[in-house]
Amino acid sequence: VNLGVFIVKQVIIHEIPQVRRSEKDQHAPTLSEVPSSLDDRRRNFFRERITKSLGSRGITVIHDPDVISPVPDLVVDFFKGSGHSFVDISQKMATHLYDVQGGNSSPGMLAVIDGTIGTGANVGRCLSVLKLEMDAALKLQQTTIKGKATFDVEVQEVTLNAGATVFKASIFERAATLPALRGLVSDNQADENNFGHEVATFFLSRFLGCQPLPGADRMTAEFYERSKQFFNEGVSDGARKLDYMNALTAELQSNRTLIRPQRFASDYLDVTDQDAFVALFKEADGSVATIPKDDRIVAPLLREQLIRFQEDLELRGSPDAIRAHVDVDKDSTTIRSPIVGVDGRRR
Amino acid sequence: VTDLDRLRATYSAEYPAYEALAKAVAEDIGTELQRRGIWASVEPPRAKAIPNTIRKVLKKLAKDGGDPEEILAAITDKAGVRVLVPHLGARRQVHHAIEAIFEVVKFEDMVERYGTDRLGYLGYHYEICRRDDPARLVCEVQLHTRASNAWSEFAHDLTYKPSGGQKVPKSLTRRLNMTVALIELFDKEANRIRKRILKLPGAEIARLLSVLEPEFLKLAYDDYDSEASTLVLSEVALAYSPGELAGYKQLVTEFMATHGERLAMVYEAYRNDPSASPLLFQPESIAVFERLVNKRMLLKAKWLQGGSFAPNVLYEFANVVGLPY
Repeated sequence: VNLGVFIVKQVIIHEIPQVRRSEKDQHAPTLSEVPSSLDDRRRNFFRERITKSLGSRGITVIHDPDVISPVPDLVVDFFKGSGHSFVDISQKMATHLYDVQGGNSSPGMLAVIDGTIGTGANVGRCLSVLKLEMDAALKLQQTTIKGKATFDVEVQEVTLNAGATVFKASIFERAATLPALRGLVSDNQADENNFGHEVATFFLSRFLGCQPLPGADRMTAEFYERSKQFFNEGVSDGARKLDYMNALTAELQSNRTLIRPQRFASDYLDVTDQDAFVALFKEADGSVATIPKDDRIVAPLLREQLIRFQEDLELRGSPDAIRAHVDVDKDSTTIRSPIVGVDGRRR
Repeated sequence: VTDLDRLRATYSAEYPAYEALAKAVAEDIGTELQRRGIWASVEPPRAKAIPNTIRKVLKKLAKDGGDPEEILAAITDKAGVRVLVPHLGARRQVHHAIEAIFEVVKFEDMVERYGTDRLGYLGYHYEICRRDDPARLVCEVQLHTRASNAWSEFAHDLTYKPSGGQKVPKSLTRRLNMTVALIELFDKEANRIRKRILKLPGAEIARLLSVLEPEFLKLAYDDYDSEASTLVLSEVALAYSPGELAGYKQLVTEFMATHGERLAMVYEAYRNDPSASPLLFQPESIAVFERLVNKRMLLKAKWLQGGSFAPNVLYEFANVVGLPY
């Protein structure tokens, strides 16, 4: 999904109140009957919010047949252009969100966006679904257009980072069937480890009825292998090789649920190495894919490090022990630990 | 019905076609210049007004006699378009563009008319037909530098509109014609100076801008803030290797061949957005976009290190082109 060529055509917004499950029958979401009125600023506001969120932490998702959610069918219906209208589809999504949202969820707005993606002959329709909460940049007021309920959108000029504190976004490209459904999903509460599984998977799974593209364990292992290869072949300084390897181990052992190569490079690599590293994970459009972390394949590889020296010398040990007892300079390595045994090895 | 009535009726009937021709020729030139990324100003097209045309026929008739209808038919500036260029280098580029898109019936470099011993009105004149026009109507196109245009307008006013219908004295005409030498010298010197400046050591930013500008004009045929361009490019230039700077034209051309359509789409989306990134609608948008695709981490580091612009200026633009940090 090349977000640089995403254009917002129309937006419809519904308000989802915070209601305890036991009181759901007594309340209802405030549903719009027509899309909001948009000028270029408002259109671009949604475009920028979506790009920011999906571009920095969006993961590829597909339909999850094991979850009961009407959203995947509604998305496919939208593309088929049969049955429900854009307004109907968005209302059904809002009602579903209201139904599955627990009493602890904050009130928020559900925005459903009809857009296009691509340029020239490759332009195609896309559908984006966002959940916004506490967005300082957005002022929404109930209004009517030709007697039909909708929300008036006013954009306050605040910087991107000072905007939404809670933002969940998704975008789906044209699909004719559920198995063909594919999109990008981001959830700024699901990126780090300080939220429970329920919060982390609510938007993606219970609401959208989707799951990450299978093979996260392989993608994580590939990230590990490509990174390791870069450290060995693209970095000449031995001390830096080891620092980078330690950082990679720490990143993969952390509780973060997403691997963002750009963030990893920025946090741990020297600026002269960052672009070459990031290029390993770059798409044709210049974007850098976010990888959902699954360490099942790489976990055993993270428990021990092997350092190779000139003259065929090798050092093995846990990353913690190496960090604590091995000092690496440009031309020499010091092991601050007494020898406790010697052995032979078949070669 | 008098000859005059017939003449007026003939040209009145032709007039809308010449009006449409002038407009179409101006549009053709504008489109071609944007396609080629050449900065020039296409003045509002005009069809020669009916009274002026009739007067021209009558004057010719009074002077040389002949058939009024034939004299009318022989007038070649019934549709006219004037193109102004900032310097002689651009005049050469526009000349090639005009030759490429029209059938040039007649071309005259006014300097050639004067030979080696006389000076006078400067500029290129064309009589052209649109290639797809079955009627083969002729439009006059004038191509001037800004300086020569300023001179010709000034001279035209003084020579042809003296007070009380008196002829301008020869001594004043001579003095006026002497000044045209300065214009010819100015255009030639200005062009030489411009080329020399671009070759000076330390003129790297100007060189980058000279590469970016044609590509920018293809996206947005508009004036831009060159001071802002210089400031931004001074930061962005730090994120290029010497090799990339040496092959900058190729780097930019290849990049735009792959990503230009995307930037054009972004320009279109933000054309009427008052909060559009200040980097958009400027040539440096191409440079920043290219670095975001190819060396985004180095660009960010240099941008933050330089500190001339707030980090958000870069972050916002990165987001706009779909490559958020």
